[in-house]
Amino acid sequence: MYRSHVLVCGGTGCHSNNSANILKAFNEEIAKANLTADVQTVQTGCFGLCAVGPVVIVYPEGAFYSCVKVEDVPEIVSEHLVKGRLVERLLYKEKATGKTVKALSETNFYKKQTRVVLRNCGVINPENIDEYIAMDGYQALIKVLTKMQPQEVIDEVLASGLRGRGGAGFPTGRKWQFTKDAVGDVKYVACNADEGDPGAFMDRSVLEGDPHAVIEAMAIAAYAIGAQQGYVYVRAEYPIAVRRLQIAIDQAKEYGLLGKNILGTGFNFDLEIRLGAGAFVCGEETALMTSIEGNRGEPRVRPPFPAHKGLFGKPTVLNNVETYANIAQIILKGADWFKSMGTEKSRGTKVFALGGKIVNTGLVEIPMGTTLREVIEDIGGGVPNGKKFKAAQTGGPSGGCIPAEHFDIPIDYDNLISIGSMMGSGGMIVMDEDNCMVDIAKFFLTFTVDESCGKCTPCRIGNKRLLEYLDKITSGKATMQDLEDMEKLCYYIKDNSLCGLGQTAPNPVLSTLRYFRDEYIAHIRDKKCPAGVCKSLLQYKIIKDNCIGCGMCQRQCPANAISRTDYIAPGKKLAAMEIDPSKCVKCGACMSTCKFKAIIKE
Amino acid sequence: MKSIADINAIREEMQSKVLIRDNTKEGETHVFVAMGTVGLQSGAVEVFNAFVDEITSRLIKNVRISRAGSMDVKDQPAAEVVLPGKAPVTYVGLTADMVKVIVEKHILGGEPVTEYIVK
Ligand SMILES: Cc1cc2nc3c(=O)[nH]c(=O)nc-3n(C[C@H](O)[C@H](O)[C@H](O)COP(=O)(O)O)c2cc1C
Ligand code: SF4
Ligand code: SF4
Ligand code: FES
Repeated sequence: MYRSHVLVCGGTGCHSNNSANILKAFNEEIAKANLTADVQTVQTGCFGLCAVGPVVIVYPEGAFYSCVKVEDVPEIVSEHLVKGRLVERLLYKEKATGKTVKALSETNFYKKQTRVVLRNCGVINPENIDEYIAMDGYQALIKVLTKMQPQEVIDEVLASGLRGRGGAGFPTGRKWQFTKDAVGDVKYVACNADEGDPGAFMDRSVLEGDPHAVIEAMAIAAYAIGAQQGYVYVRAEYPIAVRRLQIAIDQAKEYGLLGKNILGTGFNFDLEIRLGAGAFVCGEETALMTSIEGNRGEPRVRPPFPAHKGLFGKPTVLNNVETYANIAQIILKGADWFKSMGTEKSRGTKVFALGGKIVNTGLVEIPMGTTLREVIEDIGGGVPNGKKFKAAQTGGPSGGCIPAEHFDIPIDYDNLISIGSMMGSGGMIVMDEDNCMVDIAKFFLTFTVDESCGKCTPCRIGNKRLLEYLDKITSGKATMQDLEDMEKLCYYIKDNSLCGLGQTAPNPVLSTLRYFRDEYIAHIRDKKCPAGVCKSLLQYKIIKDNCIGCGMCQRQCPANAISRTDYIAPGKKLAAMEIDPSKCVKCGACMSTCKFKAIIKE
Repeated sequence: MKSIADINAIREEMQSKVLIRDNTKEGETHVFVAMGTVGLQSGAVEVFNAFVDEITSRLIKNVRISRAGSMDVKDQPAAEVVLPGKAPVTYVGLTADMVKVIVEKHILGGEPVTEYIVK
C-alpha cells in the first residue's frame, strides 16, 4: 500500500523541460531512502500550468512543486518524503497575490475551473488502464452496452446539448442521429486529433493525459450509430500523444474493451490510429477523410456530408477529441447534469489554451458563459508587467479578436459569433498595448496562406493578394482606396472558397478592421504603427542631449549604422552618437543596451 | 479478455489506490501528523500510514492528510484533526489502533475522541 504518491508531469511542456529525468531521479532517490514500498511515482499528463513546469505534486498533501529540476529531487525526497517537511522554496508562488500556495487545488488558477474534460489529466497515469477504470472509466461503455438501446444513447447526447468542440459547434447528438439514420451496412466513427490551430493544445493534452476517455467515447459512438471500426487521425508531430494512445488501445484490446464481442456483449469495435503530416487543412473534415483513405489531404464539396458519405464513401461520424472526452460523463451523470453547466445554447465546459501576454499560460477548463474577464484576470492572472489588455484572439486563424470593450461578455458559441469571433478549438491568445493589430492579422493570414491547399482559386490567390495588401499597409505604402478594396476582397474570398479554411481566412482581418480600424488608418495616413511593431514604419533615434557618448550602442549595432557626431551635450564629456536611418535595420539592439534612455523608437 | 465483473473488481480495488490524488476537495477535513524529530522517533510514520490506510481503504473523501512539522506536545506521536469550520483537536500518544477510532468517531462521526486529547 503506497502512502505517498509523487506525480510528475509527463505532458509535452514539462517533458521538454526534462521531466522524464526528474521521474527517474525520484525513483532512484526513493529506492536509496528505502521508501519503494511506501511511495509510488506516477507519470501523468499535463496539469495545465505549463508555464511553471516541470510540475511535481506530492500526495496526500497535494503539495504543488513548480519549476522542479533534477537537482531538487534529493531534497524533496529527504525533506518531504522522509521527514515530512514541505520544501518551501519549491512550492508554487502565485504571481498575482505573491502568496506561496501549498496545494494545486488552492490556486486561483485551479479553483475557478470546472474540470470535466480534463478531470483525469494530471491525476492518473495514462499508461495504466486500471487507474482509468478506478475513475469510473469504461463504466459508461458498460452501461450503454448492457442497459441502453442505440437510440437511447443518441437521445441522451442530444438532450445534453453537447456541441462539437472542434470548431463549428454542431450539435453532436444530431450528427450521430444523421449517421445512424443514413442507409448503409458499413459505418465508421472517426476522431479529429489534428489540432491545427496554432496555440491550441487541449486535444494533445487529453490524448496524453487521459487517452482512454477518447477510446471509450468512440466505442459508445460506434454502438450508437452502428459502426464496427474507428480511426483516430492525429498529427505525427504529437509523438507522446500518439504513443500513449497506442498503449491505451493495446491495453483496451487486451482487456477486451476493444475488438470482437466486447465484454461478452456481442458488440464489435476496433480502433486504429492514422498519422497526419500536420497540415492545417487536414483538420477540415472532408480533407481529413481523404487523407485517411490514403490520398492527398484536399477538401471536397459538401454536400454530401460525412454523415451520408464519409470515410470510404460510407456514413461517418467525425468528432473532435474534446467533444468525445465529454461523452462518458454525459452517459454516466446524465444529460441534466451536463445541462446544468454553461448557457442555454452552449452547455457544458470548454477548454482554452491561454497564451500570449498572460501570466498563467496553460490549459484551463471553464463552464461556458464564464466572462472573458474571469478567464483573463482571475484564472489567467492578468496581463504581465502592468501592461494594458488590448484584445484576445479566439478561434485561431479562422477566428477574430475580442477587444477590451467586450471584456465582460460571457463566452459561448453564439456570443463569440455575434462579436465577430468564434469559439474555434479553444486557442486564446492575449494581446496587450504592445501588439499591433494589423501585424496580428498579418500573422494569421501568413499562416493560412501557407496552409492553403491550393485547390480553389479564391483561397489560393485571394488570400495571397489579401496578404499583399497587409504588407503594403504595414510598410506604409497603402492608400485608403487599398483599404476599401481589401475589405471587398475579404468578403469575396469568404463567399467563394471551397472549404472552411478559405471561408474563414479573412476573419482575423475583418475583425481587427471592425475594432481597430483606427490602427489601420494610422498605418496608411500617418505612416505610423501606434504600437511600435511594424518595422518599416519605425525609426530609432538618439536624443542627443541624453547621450553621454559612451558608445555602447555603436558596439551593439550589427549594421554599422551608429556614428559619433561632434556635438557634446551640456554637462556631458563625450560627443553624442547618431543613427543613420538608411543603414539601420531596426533590430532594437542599441535601444536595449543604452542605459541612459537616450535612444527612442517612434 | 475481461468480463464486466472483472472490470468492476479492478475498479473496486483501484479506487482506494488513487483516492488520495483527489484534488477536488470541498469543505475538507484536515489531518496533520506531527513529524518533527521527536515524532519521527516515537513512531509518527506509523501513525501517518495508519491515517492514509484507513481513509483510503474506506474510500472516505474530502480528507487531506498532511505531514506537518513538530508540534509542541509531550506525548508523541501526535496529530491534529480539523473538521471544516471547527477548532483543531490535538491527539497525543497515538497508535495505529487509536487512529482507527479517531477516523470512525471524529472524522466520520463528528465527535472528538476525548480520551485521546491532550489534557
Ligand atoms: C481549415 C479547418 C481546420 C480544422 N481543423 C480542425 C482540427 O484541427 N480539429 C478539429 O477537431 N476540427 C477541425 N476543424 C473542424 C472539422 O472540420 C470538423 O468540423 C470537426 O472535427 C467536427 O467535430 P466536432 O463536431 O466534434 O467539433 C477544422 C475545420 C477547418 C475548416
Ligand atoms: S478554401 Fe483553400 S484550403 Fe480549402 S479547398 Fe480551397 S484552396 Fe484548399
Ligand atoms: S536599431 Fe539596430 S541597426 Fe538600428 S541603429 Fe540600433 S542597433 Fe543599429
Ligand atoms: S505539460 Fe506539465 S503542466 Fe502542462
